Amino acid sequence: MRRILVLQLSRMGDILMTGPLLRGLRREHPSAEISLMVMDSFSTTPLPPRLFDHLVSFPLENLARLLADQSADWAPALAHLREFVDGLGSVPFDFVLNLSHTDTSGLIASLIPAKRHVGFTLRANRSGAIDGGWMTYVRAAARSRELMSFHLVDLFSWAGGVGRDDAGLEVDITPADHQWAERFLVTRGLEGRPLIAMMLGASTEAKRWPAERFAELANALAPHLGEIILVGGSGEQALSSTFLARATRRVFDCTGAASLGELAALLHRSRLLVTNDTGPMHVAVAAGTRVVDISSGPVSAYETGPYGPEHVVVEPELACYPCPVGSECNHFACRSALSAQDAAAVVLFALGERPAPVVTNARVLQGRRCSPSGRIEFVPATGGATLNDLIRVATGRVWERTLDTPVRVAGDCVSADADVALAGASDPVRLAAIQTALAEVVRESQAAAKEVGTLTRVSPVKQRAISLSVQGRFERLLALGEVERAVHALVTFLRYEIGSIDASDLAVVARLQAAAYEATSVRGKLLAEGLAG
Amino acid sequence: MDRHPAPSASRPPRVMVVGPIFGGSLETARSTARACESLGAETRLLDFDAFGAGWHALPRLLASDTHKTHLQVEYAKVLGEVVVAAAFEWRPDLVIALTQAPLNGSVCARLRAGGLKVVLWFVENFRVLSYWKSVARDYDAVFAIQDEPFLQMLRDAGAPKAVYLPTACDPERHVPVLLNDSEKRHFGADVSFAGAPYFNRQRMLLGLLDLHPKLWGEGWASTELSGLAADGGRRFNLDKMIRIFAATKINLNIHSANHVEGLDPDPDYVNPRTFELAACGAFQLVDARLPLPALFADDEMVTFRSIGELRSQISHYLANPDERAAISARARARAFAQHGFVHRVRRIVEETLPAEFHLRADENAWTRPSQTVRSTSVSDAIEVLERSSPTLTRNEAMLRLLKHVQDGAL
Repeated sequence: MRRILVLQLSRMGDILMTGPLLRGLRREHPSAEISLMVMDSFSTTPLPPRLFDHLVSFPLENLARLLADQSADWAPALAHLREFVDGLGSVPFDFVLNLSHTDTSGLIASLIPAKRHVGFTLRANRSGAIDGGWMTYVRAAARSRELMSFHLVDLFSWAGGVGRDDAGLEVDITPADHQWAERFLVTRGLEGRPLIAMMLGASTEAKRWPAERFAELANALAPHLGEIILVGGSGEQALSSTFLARATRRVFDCTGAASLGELAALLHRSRLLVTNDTGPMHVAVAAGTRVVDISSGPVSAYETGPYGPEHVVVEPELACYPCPVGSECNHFACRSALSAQDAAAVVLFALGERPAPVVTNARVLQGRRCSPSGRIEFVPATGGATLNDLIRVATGRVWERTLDTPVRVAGDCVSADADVALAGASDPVRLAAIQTALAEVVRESQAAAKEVGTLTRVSPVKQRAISLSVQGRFERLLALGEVERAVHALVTFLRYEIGSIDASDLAVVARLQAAAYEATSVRGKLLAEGLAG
Repeated sequence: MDRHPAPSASRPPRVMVVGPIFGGSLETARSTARACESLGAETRLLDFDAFGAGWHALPRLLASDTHKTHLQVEYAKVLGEVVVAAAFEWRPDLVIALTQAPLNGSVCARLRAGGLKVVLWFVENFRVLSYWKSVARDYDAVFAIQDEPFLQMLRDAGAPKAVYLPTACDPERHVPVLLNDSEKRHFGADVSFAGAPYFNRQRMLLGLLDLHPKLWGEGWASTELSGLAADGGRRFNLDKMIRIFAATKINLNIHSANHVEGLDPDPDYVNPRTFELAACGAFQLVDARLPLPALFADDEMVTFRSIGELRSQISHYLANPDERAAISARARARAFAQHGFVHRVRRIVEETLPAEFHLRADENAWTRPSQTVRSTSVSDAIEVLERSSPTLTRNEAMLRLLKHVQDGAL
């Protein structure tokens, strides 16, 4: 491959999580020219420049301004967009990988000529389509994210066809950034002192552990463990004020003072970052600093948590957590699930000062690398495992086995059989319901595969009858996914696969459909076995 | 300090709107939900449109009618469980179910036991769709488009409360359209009728053959009037509908009735089309209905009682375009002022919830007629490109992208 374009049109954290993919593409295709497209608001990317050759900023803010200024006349905006698209060149890319799954990103992808597209795009017939098994999985699993088996870092890499290495996330820290951090510490008398950083903000209120609790946590930590530094942007300053009003110990407020690189340099010098799920959390991971991630709201650490086995996650133990996609919360109960005292015990555990604690209304998780791919998954560090833990691990293995998963290139792994932490996870009633649903999935998809397989050998009248029958089975499978969440991703994946078939020849369509139903049946069987085992 | 603030004494309600699995009430449910939102209610729409295909597919898999019916009932039950789950996940104050929403007695009972108010807005003719008898008792209140004696019949069937509530228009979607020349040619006519070919409509329209009305909608091509079927007798969507209204000098509005030669003998409700035409600023001639005088003044709506009267009205109003324009403008103002979905939602909330739940007083978006759709909007340009090419062109993709940017849907 000579020209590769990766579209990462999400936020800063997602851009950082794209680093291992870009590194892998560089490794696998050393002579290729790699371009990374981000939204213009994130054009000062924190990624090391060696990971790509060109950074392309999608001019979202300019287009929005042009449309707002001249809402009656969209011609200037169209001209600006055309200029941007033309600027990408008329020679098709060899490979375009869209890591976002919004309609907007699909439209952008559809405007870029490529020999091969992976991810969401809009086809010539105006229907949305997803190419590539792992990107299909990302979209299919989004609505049952409480059962998400994979971290986005691994999914992004596999979508690009590259295996896991051992380097993790990366962030660009320049010598000037390091000098700034040194100066910051020296001028405050913190040189050589252990530091514990805290990030109080998050993109939405639902994701924020209260600033008052952060303050109580800081008060509960013995001074010898570390000096407290508050980090974040200017948006976090109001939270800092709340924190400082409650703090009874010395605290250094750095919010709004550091650039992204300077923040990374400061975090690099910290023992620990205590944070919600945020961009700075990924910066800390990339800077090699251990993280305690306090999850709440719609966040699923299994998907976006701190990427690495040394980090610790606390997630609320509430039936409604994580918030279902598109739902609105009116109680925010999960934000107050974790007490400051329990958080202090978790911090001590993360610092290696005590064993993993059992906490009230929440669970402590820790990452582990799993064989054979080397992916990261989170399992309980203490306390009992739940049926959802078991489902996550079992489904993870099924997808890993049945999709095209690149072999890992480096790194030690925990054996997939070493599931001591999951022993005892049980809920016989729900498990029986899942097994019933899985049996139904297997039966319906096998029957559909068989029926589709006969399509080219029968008369047109019979073809119509078979199509109707298969359509009925398809709809039944989708209904099963709505009723039983453990099979939702399985049948939604099938839905996207069927919907993305881009052929008009009956024999080709029949073959691809049969393969999709067959694969669903195999996955259903494997999952049933995994859960039974 | 770290708790989410408790609800204040006075706040907007959280409303969940539940639509049917298929049928005309789907759009009514969507408009109801939009109205709730525009009134400041926290709103969630349970839209079961996607499950309509499954409902229709079920009987095709089976031979026995007993199995078909039984499994369709089971299917609806599953969707009823979705309603329960969604309601308890989201905890609305009020659940508004539209006709044929998949709520059975058990679903309503559980929702009500959980402290939720559950109401049915029955937007169909009770003589045609009779299942209301068995469900009226399951709701806290039933709202109906027919007044007495139907309201008493609902109370007799066990409804704790029965309230008259006519259908409405959705002023964000039912708007006048400026047409380009090709649209004027395609949709234009002196007289048009848009709707399904019910038997009474066919008989009435046979009396207008010499006026060459254009008949829009699915099914006309297989009737005696096939020669008048427009657009090959194909189904029309909302975009087409508002263009038909805009391009037609006289829009006929004939309430449906099966097995009747002429006008509906029980004219005790007003169909949605009456309000939609009014909101679009289109001129209509509508068959006389008992509730109409209470909804529109005499100089806002012209009604007919026979084919003879209709013919003479057509002749008069074709010759008097200024009169047509003045009448439709007054009807439009009335529709916006009193007959939007916001007005209906406000009534439902007032009748159902305690006074501490309040809706936004400002109904600007609904009471002030919205701007005429510009032919030059990004959406219009997309539609033109869509019509002119069977496949997605680069220009269309770019315009679609601009539309996303414009809508902030990123």
